[in-house]
Amino acid sequence: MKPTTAEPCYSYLVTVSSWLLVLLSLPSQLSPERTGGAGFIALGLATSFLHSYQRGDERGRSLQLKALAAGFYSSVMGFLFGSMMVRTLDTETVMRDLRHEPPLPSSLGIWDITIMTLVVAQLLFWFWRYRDARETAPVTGWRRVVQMCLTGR
Amino acid sequence: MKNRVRELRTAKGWSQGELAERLGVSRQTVNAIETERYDPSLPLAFVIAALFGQRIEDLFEPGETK
Repeated sequence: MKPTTAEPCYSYLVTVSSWLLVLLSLPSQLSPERTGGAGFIALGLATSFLHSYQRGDERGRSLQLKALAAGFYSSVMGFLFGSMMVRTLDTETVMRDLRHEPPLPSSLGIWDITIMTLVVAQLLFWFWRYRDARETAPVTGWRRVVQMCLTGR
Repeated sequence: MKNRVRELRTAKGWSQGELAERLGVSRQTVNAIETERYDPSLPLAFVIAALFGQRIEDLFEPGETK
């Protein structure tokens, strides 16, 4: 008696439709050859990420969602902070601001954020799965002392 | 949540991998449940309880998840 879900269908549907979308957009402005292949890299990462755990494994699914959320927030915050630092340290940008000239266009695109999100999410997911696979080792030495101080047990 | 999954599994002589296969989850998930890092969903808890021929309340008891 195993719990059954439609999850495998959704996962394959999302992957196949994403690849179709990119392949159909080849003649458009969003085509991968016009974005330096970033679209293909992002989709490759997404495919690997979506299929990196056994289908129907609820722990894998919940960790994947958690990793994706953490990856998204960290990459957006990272890019915002990085962009702020670059603008602060780049005298040309500051001078353009002082001259009331429009800022130079940034090369940062949605693919960059997508790739960073997926890389962070995949690394977090692997780490959490590694932690799940590990047996809890008995705590000894100074760690045991710290544990006793903190928990009283 | 505290549970008796490891105790019952070893009593049956199953490895974590064997239990995982019977439950349709990964070995890591079984280990996470046994080490109380993860509380299974209600459907999975029912499947575990049925597999060991126990009631859910005999298998799981309230407590903090690590």
